[in-house]
Amino acid sequence: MQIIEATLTTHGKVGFASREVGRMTDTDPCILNTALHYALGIASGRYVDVVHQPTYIEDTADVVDEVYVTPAAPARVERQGTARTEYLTTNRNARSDTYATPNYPATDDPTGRADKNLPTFERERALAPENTFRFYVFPYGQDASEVATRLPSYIRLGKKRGKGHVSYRIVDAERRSGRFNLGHPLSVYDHDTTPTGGVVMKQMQPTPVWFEGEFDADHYAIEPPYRNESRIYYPAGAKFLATKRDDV
Amino acid sequence: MLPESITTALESGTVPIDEMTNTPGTNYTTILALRELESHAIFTTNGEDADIASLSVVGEDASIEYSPGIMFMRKQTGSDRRMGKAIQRELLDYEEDDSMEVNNMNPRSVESALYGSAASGDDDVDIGVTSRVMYDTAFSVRDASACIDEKFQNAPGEDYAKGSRSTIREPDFFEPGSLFPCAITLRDATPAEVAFVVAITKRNKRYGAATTRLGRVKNHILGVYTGSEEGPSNRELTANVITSFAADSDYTLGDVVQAPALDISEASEYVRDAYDAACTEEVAQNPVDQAVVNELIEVAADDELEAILEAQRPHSEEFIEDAIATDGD
Repeated sequence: MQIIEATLTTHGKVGFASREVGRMTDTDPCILNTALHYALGIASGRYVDVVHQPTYIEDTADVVDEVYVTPAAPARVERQGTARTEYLTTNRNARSDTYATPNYPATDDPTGRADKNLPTFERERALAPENTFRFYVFPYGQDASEVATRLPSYIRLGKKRGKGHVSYRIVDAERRSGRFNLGHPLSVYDHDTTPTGGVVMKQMQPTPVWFEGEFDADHYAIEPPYRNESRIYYPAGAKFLATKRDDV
Repeated sequence: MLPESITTALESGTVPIDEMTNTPGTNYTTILALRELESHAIFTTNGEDADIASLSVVGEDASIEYSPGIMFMRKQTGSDRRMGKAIQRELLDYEEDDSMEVNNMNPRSVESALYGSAASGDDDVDIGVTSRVMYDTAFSVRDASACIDEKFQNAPGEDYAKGSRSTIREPDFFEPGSLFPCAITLRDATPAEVAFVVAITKRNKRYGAATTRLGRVKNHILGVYTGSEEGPSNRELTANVITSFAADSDYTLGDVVQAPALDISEASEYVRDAYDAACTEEVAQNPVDQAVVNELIEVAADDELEAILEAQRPHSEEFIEDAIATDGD
C-alpha cells in the first residue's frame, strides 16, 4: 500500500503546555495526533465551545476508518544531521494592562493581592521556527495521492496557533507479519496490540505514547526518508483512539 | 451595508453574513500587510529584552543564518483587538460593555465573536470562543544587531539625594524603519468582518509596550487574498524580501540584513511577489482585484464602517446564541 510521509516545519513560535513546572510552561518535542487531526482539517471542532470537554471521538467518527494520522516526531533534515529540537524561551510579565501597577508591601496591601500567590511573571519554552517533524498519514481504502491533494500545505498548531508548513511525499509500505521494533511514535490508545518488550513510553496529555517497543503483530515496513537506511516499522490497522471507541 | 462588488470579490474566502458557521470550514481570506516602524518601539515580553529568533535564508547561490527581532503574534493581536474594541465603542452602542478585561467580555459583540473570548461576564453561560482571525509571528527583515538599540532610561524623581532604586533600565528599542511583513488570516469570516479587520489594520498605528506614546507603526496593506487554503508564513515572506533585495543589487544576503535602511516600496513589492508566487505554485488562494482592495480600504476609513458593523451585529449575536442553544443542552 502507499502511504503519505509528511514533513512539518515550524514557521513561527509553536507552543503548547506539555507540562507546567512552577512558573515554567514547557513544550514537548512531539506533536500528538489528537492535534494533527484538527490541524490537517480531517476533524473539525467548534468555534464556540460550551461543553469544555474534548470531543475527539465524536469529531472523528466519520473519518476514523478512512484515514489515520500518526503523532509527529522530530526529524532530521539532512541525512547526517541529528533530530535536534530548537526552543525559544520567553519570559513574560503577567501584569494587568492598567496604566500604572503599584506594588504594595505584603503587610499593607489595600488590593488584597499580596496574600494570594499571584504570578507576576512566567516563562514559556516553545518550539522555535525551523524545527522539523515527521508524521505519516495512512489512507485506508483510498488512493494516497488523492488524499494528499486534500491535505493543506500550511497548518496552525498549539496554544497561539503558530504556523507550520507541511510537505507530502507518497511512500510505499509493505505489509508484513511477525516481530518488529516500532520505528515511529504510536499513541497507546490507537492500537490494541501490546508490546512484548523494550518499551519506551511517555505519559503525555491527552494520550500516552509509545516511542519504542518490540511488538508481534501485522505491521507495515515503510520506505525510509533517506535511501540506504532501514525501513520504518509501524503496526497495521492503527486507528485514532481505537481502544476508546465502543464499536471496536 | 457592504457594496455588492466587495461581497462578490471576497466570495471564495468568506461565508455569507447569514450563514456564519460554528463548525470550521475552508474559507480563508488573508490580508497581506507590511508593518513599518515610524518611531522607536519596544516589542518585548519581559519588559527589557527584544525577543530574537534565528532564521536561515536560502538565496540563489548563497545562504545565511541571521537573527531577526520578533514581533510576537500576541503583540499584534492585543493591539489590534484594542483598536477593534475602540472602533466598536465608537460606532455601536452595546448595553453590555465589551472590554479587554478577560473576565468581563461581551462574547456576543462583533469584535469578540470574531476575535474570540475566553470567558464571559455572564455566569449562566460559560463559553469560550475561538478566534477566527489568525496572526503569525513577524520577523524583522534586518538583523537584530542592525535594527535594535539599547537605550538607557532613568526615572529618578525629584529628590536631591538618592537611595538605591530600580528606576533605571535599558530596554531594547527597534529602530524606526524596521520592516515586518505580516499576513493576517481570517477563517470563515463574513465580508463585513473582513472589512472590520481591514479597518483595524489601517487605523491601528501603535504597537508594542507603552503603546499610547511610543511605537508608531504604519501598516501598508499590500493586498487581499481569498481561497480554500491558508497562504505562506511571515517567515517565507521575510526571507523572500531578503533574497530579492540581494538578487536585485550587488549586495550579498549578509549585506541586506545588516543594511542601514531598506527601501519600503521595493520591500512591499517583494512581499507581494512572494505571496503571489505561492498562490500560483502551491496554495489554493487567489489575489483579490486591486480596485476591490482599494474599495475595502476606503470603506474602512469612512462612516460606512458603522453601517457595515450595524449589519453584522445581529448576525454575530445569532452566531453565539445558536451555538449555545445547540451545544448547551
